[in-house]
Amino acid sequence: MKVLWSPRSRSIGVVDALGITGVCGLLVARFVPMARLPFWGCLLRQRFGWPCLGCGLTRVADRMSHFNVADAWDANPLGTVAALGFMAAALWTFLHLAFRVPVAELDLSDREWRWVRVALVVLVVANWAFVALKYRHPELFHGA
Amino acid sequence: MQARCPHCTSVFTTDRTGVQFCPSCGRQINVPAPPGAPPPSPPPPPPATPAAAVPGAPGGGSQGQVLPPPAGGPVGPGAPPPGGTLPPGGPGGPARVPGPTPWERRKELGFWRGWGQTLKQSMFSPEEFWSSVRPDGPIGDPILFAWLTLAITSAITAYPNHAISTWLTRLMVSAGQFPPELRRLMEGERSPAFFWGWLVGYVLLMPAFAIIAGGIVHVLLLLTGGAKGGFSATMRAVCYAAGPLLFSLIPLVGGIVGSVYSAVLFFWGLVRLHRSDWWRPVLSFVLLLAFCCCCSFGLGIVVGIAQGVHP
Repeated sequence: MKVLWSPRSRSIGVVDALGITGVCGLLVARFVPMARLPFWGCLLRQRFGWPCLGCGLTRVADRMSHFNVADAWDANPLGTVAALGFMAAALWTFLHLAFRVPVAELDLSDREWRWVRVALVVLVVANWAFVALKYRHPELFHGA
Repeated sequence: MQARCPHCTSVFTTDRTGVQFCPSCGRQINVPAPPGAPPPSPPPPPPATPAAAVPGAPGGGSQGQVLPPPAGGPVGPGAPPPGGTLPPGGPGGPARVPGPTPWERRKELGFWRGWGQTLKQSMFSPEEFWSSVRPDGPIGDPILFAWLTLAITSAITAYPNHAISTWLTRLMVSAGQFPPELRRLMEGERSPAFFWGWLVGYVLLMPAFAIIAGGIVHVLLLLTGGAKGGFSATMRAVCYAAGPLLFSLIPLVGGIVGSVYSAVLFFWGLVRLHRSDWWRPVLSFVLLLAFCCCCSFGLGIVVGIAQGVHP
């Protein structure tokens, strides 16, 4: 693995794109009360009793936009990590675009990328298992 | 002689072999001598750039690729129009040298001519077009192209589309048993304030939407191993695939046809610009759908409406 630093410039790269995504998403989550919309809710989960892979991400965005990390983690741990990543990207984007701070770029070999993919699949499955268990058996997490 | 940078895949002209810096991305590369040529010249003293401090590249750099002379002439400001005088490629054909699109050469061709030629080539000769687009370079030009295309389309189609959606909303509200809050929300979409707010916001925020789309797609492409061309290549695919949105000028069916055609061009562009297998962008899109909570939400709405319930 190599860490490459971009030259000092304001050219937009993938970190900036993720930062802009994070800013837009967190602003929407902060100022649009999604959960209070009349039709909001996952009918799929209500109908079949199982959460999907992305279950809880709206709640994560809502809570992270209020800097409520603990409750966001409670809704979806991996989503919380992703939201923290978006926030970090947003901060770095600001520094990069305002002060031309260099951006780090990871250069991974094919083998390392393979490990990243495997790790990600494992994390997603583990995260979903946690969310599903929590939804189906809340007593395990909050006491009887 | 022409060489291709292994980092940014840009093609540049050089008069010597050996260690040097890519004029596009600035990274250190080693251009090998063509077969039968004398040994490479000694490397120049390394300047103090971030790329020179890359671990694993002391005095060496990544191996560049020497390209055969292009059939259409040199690459650069005097290069022939992409997809124009260059010979047709494809499997077994001579390789095209990627270069700037007509839109990126609009100072030379003229603003509207550059836009029109890019539109025409991307929509009606996509294979030639995508093979001739260079994957690197600044992303401002492609974004401007997509912005202009979308602004023209939106300005012409906004009012008819609004009228049609108002009519459809009215039909849905009168036919379906929606909760009162949802009914109020749907009726609110018919107000002039909503219309103008949506139109101006949509057009003004389009560059941000394009960058967001490019960022998300690029990360997913990284995960599927289909992002060999860098973020700039992804942004080019996103933006230059916007041409078919002009089909929205045809009422009703035009928007659907344009969206589907634009998606096809988008995947085509990703495959060509990243030199990737076709399944990698498709898998990225499937992953996006699988993880997007809105997808589940949309499915939930469909299931709910089909079963006549609401949460």
